[in-house]
Amino acid sequence: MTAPTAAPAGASSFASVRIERSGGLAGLKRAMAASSAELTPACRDAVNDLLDKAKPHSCPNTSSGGADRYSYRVHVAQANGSLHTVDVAEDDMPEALADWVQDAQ
Amino acid sequence: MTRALSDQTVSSENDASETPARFLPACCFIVPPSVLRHYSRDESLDADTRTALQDSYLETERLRGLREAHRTATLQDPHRLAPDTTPHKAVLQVFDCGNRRALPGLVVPRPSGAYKTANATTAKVLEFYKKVLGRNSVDNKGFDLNSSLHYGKHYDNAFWNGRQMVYGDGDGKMFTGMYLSPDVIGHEITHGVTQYESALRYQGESGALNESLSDVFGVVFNQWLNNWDVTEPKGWLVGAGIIAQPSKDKGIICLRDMVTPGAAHCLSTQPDRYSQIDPTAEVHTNSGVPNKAFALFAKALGGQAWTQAIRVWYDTATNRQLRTDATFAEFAGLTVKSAKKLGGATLARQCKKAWDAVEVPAGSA
Repeated sequence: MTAPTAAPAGASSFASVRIERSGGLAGLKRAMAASSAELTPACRDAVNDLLDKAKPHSCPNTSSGGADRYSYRVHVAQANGSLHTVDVAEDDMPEALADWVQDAQ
Repeated sequence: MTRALSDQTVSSENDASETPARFLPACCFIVPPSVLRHYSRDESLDADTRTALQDSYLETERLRGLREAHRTATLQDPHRLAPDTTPHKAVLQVFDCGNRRALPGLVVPRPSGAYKTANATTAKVLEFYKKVLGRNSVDNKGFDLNSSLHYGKHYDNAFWNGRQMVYGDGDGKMFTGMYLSPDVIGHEITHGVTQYESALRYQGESGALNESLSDVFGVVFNQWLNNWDVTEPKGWLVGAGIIAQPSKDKGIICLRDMVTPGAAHCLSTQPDRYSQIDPTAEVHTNSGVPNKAFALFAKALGGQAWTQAIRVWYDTATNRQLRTDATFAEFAGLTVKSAKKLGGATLARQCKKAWDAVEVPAGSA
């Protein structure tokens, strides 16, 4: 198991990202995908932050407490072609990325 | 260009086409303890890393033990680990999140408009539970209920976070204010009741049962509020009041329909027979099967669902025989037992007949 490469703050270390949201009262799925260059700086930083936190010896929650919460699966493609997948609980999802998925048309 | 994929177009986790050819699962968010332990003994790793892995392993095991002990103790007596509080009348408060995601937000001291509506409906849900089922709030001891409105930006959801209810404003295209459907407020509060009773695990069939209980008690509360008998089709819709006009223009009238879970007028269609369920589906999908069983049972009895049918489901939900990991079949069998206890063999047979119709074995009546 390999930890994702940590990127310097503000720098983009990934090629593209795809985020899938599931759950919620309606139980509907929604997804967004973009290249790193197409993301806002806030979203790019948030993706890098998620990768940085996803260390192999960390054991964070993947679901928020209660019921009808959203959950997220984030697929990040690196420039070298490898793909990292991170499951994120709603409470741990950066607001910039959550809003990006919410506003998907 | 960023690319949005329309709702319900994301393929399932088991769909091989979902995985790109160059997929290399280099990172896993949840690390099984066995993996932590294995690598903590890997002499090819440096000492600091092995120590960190060993510490993580020990902490994971400690938390696992605590969680299981708490779960077991709570099932035996849900109040054992809580402060010993004297039952009282629940106090209701409403908060404004100001379109941010911090909870609970700012308290609204004199609720008006949306805040007043949400608070008034919450009070009615508690009145329903008290008058119809003899229950005092979610914990049966007067648990104070907080509601937070205007959560997030265009937030298309409402949820129970284990302590309170939270409502978004909707995006105005698919959903409008999520507090506007009385059954949705009843749905969220019922998640609190389930938390204090069976604590149905939020995955698989037990998760679908958890969702179904919230739909069932939510719609029956709405029927009671509007004095609708079981023949009123509107009384079986989940979330009719939160559908935005653009969705209505496309023929969508609700989130779910307990009588016809697969109807095209539902935003989220569901299976209505056990042979149709996908075991890997999200918990709001397979709940269509027990939802329809309840609707069939109540409609077969006739009259008002809150006079008899809901009492059978409430007995099953609260009599401490329902396992945290209950299957549909286990739940069905327990409802037949509750029906027999409350209404004798005739009621039990009617209950079993409803489960037979959705292909869930309920044992003998």
